Amino acid sequence: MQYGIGFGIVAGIITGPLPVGVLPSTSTDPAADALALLYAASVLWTGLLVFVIAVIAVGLFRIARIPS
Amino acid sequence: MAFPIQAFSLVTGIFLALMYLHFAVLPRGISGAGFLFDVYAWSSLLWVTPLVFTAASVVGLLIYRARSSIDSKLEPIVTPVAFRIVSRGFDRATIWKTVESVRSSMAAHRLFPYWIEVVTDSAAVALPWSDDLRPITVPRGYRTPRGSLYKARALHYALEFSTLPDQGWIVHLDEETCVTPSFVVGIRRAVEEEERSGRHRTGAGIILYHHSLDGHPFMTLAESARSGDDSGRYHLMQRLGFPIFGLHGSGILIRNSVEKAIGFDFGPGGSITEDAYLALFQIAHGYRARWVDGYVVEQAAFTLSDYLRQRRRWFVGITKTAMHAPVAFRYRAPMLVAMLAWALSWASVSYTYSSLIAGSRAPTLVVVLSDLVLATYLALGLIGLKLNLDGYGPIPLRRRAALYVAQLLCTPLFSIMEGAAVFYGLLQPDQKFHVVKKDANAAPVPASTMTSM
Repeated sequence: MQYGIGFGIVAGIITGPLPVGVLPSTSTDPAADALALLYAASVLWTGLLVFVIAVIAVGLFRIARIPS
Repeated sequence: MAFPIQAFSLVTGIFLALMYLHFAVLPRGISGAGFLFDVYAWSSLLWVTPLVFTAASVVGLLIYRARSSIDSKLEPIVTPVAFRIVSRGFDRATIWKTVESVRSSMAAHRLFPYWIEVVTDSAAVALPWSDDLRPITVPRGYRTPRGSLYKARALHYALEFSTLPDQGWIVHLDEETCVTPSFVVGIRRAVEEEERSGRHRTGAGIILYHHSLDGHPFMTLAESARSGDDSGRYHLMQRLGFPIFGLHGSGILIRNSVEKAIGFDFGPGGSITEDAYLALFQIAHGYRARWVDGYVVEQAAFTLSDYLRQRRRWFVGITKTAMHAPVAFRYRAPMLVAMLAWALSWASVSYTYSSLIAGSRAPTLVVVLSDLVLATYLALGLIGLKLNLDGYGPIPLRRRAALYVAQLLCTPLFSIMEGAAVFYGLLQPDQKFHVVKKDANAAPVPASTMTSM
């Protein structure tokens, strides 16, 4: 099963960047589309960054509480 | 070609190839104006968090000098060495294979008096007592003064029970750690040098994982970077004398007097990764480290579940050590920084794939430095694979080439696995000592010696 997941991830990595700037776009304004995609990613990432900081902070706190 | 030149060429070649890809082939990406765009662009700094460790790896590779193990001038020494195997005691076949690896390697190079101590929590393995084999069973009710657990408890009991004299040396082995003739030669050289100088430094060499190459090639490739890391970052720390990033739990060569002075009674918190505690305690006690030329061979984690649980234990245990080991902060600080960088690894991996899809533009300096980080990571995997394949024995050129290509192609998956293990450790920081499944039928230890690349 892990190999199946692995191939899926590799396929995602390979095909992921292709829509941006590599494949010919049918949009009337590709630059605006790309900027919109980047904006969406920025919003999502900023949210994820808060999650990252929270997970690390809580995780380190719980590790610190392991009896010495 | 000498190892440092090979390593330097590899890192430089991959670095230049990545730079070419980034600046001449791939779309440069776009950027926008505004707070969220800035946060996104500067989050690319996550890529360079391992830069210090990358630099240490490169320096370690550049000063690596493997001495040939074939040296007819080596005379036997009289200092005794105890190979101390620690196991829960449930897998007799695997333990026996390790015992046989010590015997065959010592038969190839009888350079010092030795015996093998097998320390188990259970007497169920029923190993026979003989001239060179001394089973030690930790009594069920045994408790250290500070309540140490797992392997630390067993090692502390062995320290009290063993008849090894203070001037003797201990080689720590896990139940599946097979000793090679090259390591025996390395031990002989190290013990003689340390006894002559009176410095009594603690030694470590390189751990290989090729025993599981046939049965579990994907998981074995996932361990390649660890062998490469041994020849780079860990090698540098051993050569400097300060194992500030810790020690591996096996393949450690330590004088009995030093180990007795430190002990293994690190308490429950220090029992998750007792090797990391040992590294910091020995620095704090004024003892130093050294390099041992030679290899021991272990098995990779066979399943993704074992891989994740093993890495989680390391992350949780070493982080706990870096936070609470009762030594001066200056000794713990590098380990703490390393763990924080590791804690960010899954965020870094997530950012990489996110930015690939979004087509963002990172600052040029960040791209250059991150290319160096990635080049070193890729090179460590390839160097580690080469060390493992050389130790594996004769292998057809076509299969060797396929493994190198697979190593490169699978690196993104390995980085995801590493990141996932750390994420797992942060979400569920379990303090148990997870032991991965072993296979006694893994490939045998080759009789040939091998210390040069």
